[in-house]
Amino acid sequence: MLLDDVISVVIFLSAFSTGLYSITTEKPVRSIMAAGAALWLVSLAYWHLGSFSLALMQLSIAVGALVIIGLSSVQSFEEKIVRGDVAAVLAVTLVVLLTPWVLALRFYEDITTSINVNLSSYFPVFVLIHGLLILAGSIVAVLLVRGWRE
Amino acid sequence: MDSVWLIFLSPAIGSALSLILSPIKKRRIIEAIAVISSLISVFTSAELFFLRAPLLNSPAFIQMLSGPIAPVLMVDKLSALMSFVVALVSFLIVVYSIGYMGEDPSYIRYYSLIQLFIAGMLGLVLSGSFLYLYLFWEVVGLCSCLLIAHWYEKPEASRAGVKAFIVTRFGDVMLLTAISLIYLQVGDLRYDVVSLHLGSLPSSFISMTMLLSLGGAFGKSAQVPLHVWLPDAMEGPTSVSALIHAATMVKAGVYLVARLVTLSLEYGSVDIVALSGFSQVLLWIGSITAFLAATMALVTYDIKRVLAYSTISQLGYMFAGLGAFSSVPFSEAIFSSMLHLTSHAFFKALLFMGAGAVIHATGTRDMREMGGLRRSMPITSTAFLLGAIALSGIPPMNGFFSKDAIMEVVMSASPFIYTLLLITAVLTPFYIFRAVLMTFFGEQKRHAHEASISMTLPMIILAASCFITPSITSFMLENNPLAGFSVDITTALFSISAVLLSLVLFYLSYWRGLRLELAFARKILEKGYYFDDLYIRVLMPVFRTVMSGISWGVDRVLDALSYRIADQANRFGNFLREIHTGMISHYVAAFSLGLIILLAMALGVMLT
Amino acid sequence: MMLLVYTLMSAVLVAVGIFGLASRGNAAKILISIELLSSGAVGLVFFPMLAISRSFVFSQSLMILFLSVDGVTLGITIAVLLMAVKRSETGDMNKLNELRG
Repeated sequence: MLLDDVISVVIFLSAFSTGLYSITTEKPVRSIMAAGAALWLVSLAYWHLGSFSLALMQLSIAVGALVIIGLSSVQSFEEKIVRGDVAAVLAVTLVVLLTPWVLALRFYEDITTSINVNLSSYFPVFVLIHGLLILAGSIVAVLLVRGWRE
Repeated sequence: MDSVWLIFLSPAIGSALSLILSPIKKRRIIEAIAVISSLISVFTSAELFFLRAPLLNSPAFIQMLSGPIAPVLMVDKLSALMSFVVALVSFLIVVYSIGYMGEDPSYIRYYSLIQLFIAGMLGLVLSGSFLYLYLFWEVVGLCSCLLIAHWYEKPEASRAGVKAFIVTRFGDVMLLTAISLIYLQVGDLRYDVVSLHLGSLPSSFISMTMLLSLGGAFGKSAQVPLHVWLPDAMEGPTSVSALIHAATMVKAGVYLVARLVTLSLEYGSVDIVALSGFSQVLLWIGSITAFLAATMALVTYDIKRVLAYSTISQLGYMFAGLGAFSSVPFSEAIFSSMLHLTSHAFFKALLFMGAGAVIHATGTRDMREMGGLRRSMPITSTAFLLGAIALSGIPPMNGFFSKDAIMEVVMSASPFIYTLLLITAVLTPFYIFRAVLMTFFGEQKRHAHEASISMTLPMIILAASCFITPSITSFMLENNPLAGFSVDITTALFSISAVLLSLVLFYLSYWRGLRLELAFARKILEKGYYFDDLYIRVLMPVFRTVMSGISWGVDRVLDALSYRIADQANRFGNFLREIHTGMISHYVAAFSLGLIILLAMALGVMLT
Repeated sequence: MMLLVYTLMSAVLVAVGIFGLASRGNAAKILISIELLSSGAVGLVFFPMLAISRSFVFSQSLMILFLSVDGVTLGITIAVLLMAVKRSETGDMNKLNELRG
């Protein structure tokens, strides 16, 4: 299964680099975003393995962490949010939120016939979670765009 | 309780009582206590001497409680004799003290110490175990030093007391070593147990132990080289000198040696060959001391120092007599020595009492300040003269018989030693009659009156007793009152010739102006053969340097040790302190490091 | 092979997380380091478990549990750090090296 190996290596390298970047960079917002990206990649790894529930869990952790940390850091550091940061946050959030949705759409049969978990009965939950995540992400995006200041 | 215990307990109680009753500032009461307590000793020891001891064939052990360290007394002929003599002379001196120390303000201290001393001495001779022997030995030494320094306001007196203590200490340490060795080998210190085991011990051990205890004996009895304390001890009151340094304490060394000889030869079964070195040392040290001390007595002007040197010399005779035990039957050696011991105790006490009376009357000890006291102190001068005659060994005084006994046994031991003692016998009359001449004859330089009855009565009693002491001794030791008076013709002739020679020389020197040119030797003699200088100028600085060197080294080591240890601990603490930065990231790094190490260890464990 | 790579990735994430915690940083950095750390720790347990046993269900359930705990930890940590940052003037956590306040 060469493809699997290649995918896993790619995910590995990406996660490594983003994680490293997140802790070495000076800017708080960027480090948070990079961490979010790393965690999203981990979630992809779980998805790749076929453990969808875990992937979703990881994803929720990632997004939730991102949101809260981002909000609080904005509040704490009173950093001026520059447009580039907003764009980055938006992009990442969207990607994070949409990826599983797309993947689920694409691999629906595989999901339901996966050897591991019979996910069919959880599908509504799946949708619900993603819906909430999208909602939260939109709020964040709006706030960021508006340049929310305390 | 057996009455024997009272012999030494009575003065001990008297001593304590004198101290307890000290708030009552009545001199007569304290004096009475002393007299009564010593009188009780006299009576109880007389009872022992006359009634019980002659019946003894083997020593009697009287023990209180039981066990190896319980108080135990041993009564045999030797200890019965010693205790009687000591008790009697002590009593007479206590009576004498009433007159001599009549105006001394520190009488309480004096009488309590004197009684403590008497108790110690009597305990020493009656003791049945080396433990108590040593205990009383120390008591006696202590009282001696304290009494020497009785007039401690005089710096010479306190120096003399310290000197006596330190010099005898050397001997005491050796004695203690010997006793410890005995204990280590035998496991018990009682005389009966020790004498049982003595025969089975290796002879090298026995001779070493004996020689060590000789160190103690020589210290207490002021033999060369530990004799230096006795002449200086004359700074004390004359009654003290009479008691301690003439009649009793200095005899303790002789008693110790006699006791050791009886324990090993009479009651134990020690091979006499093992003790040959011991006897040689006794002979040589005894005779050399006798000779040297007699020479030193020739040049001194202090009347008490003459008597002090004389005591040292006569003690040398006693040791020499004891040392003959390997050549003659040991009972003869002991008998001769004891004979001289008792004779000397009486006539020397007599001489000291006379000297004390003279000092008390004239206020000086220097014989050059005295003269012609014969007229103003008739009783004293007669008594002193009788003592001088006894010391010189002129018949029919006791000195003649006792000296002859010693010469007899010594001649069988070694002719050379005999000759040395004979020469000393020539010197002895010379120095004592010189003292007599300077003190009692010639023109009177200072006013003097006769001594009080409390001083003269003991002198008279002692003078009278001098005629019968040989009988007392031989009654006890040989069961025959007349044995003490027997003499060997050869030695008797030699002795009498020696005395005559001495008297002739004396006459020639002082009446015909024959001056033997001794100027070259005078300095040496006056300096006491430079023994004192040796000790003070040579040995003490060496000691001090060595000791200060050792203490400097020890200080350095200890300081370095403690300082370095403390410093290291400090540094380590500082180092540890810097780990606590308070910064979270440091802590994280630290415990993640620990975590990695733990994981590695777990991994290692798993892999093996 | 795949599992090996993913195990390695989790280990790397753990290392990165520790590194982030151990080095100087502000509160946000600490938080994300914790996140990365715990995600990596979950992965570190999950992937080898998959390699060893075939019980996928159990593994997944376990990991879900761990991840939820991780979320709780996050919430508390955020609260604490927020308070700390508010109390002190700076966001530099290393300045909080005294117990005072």
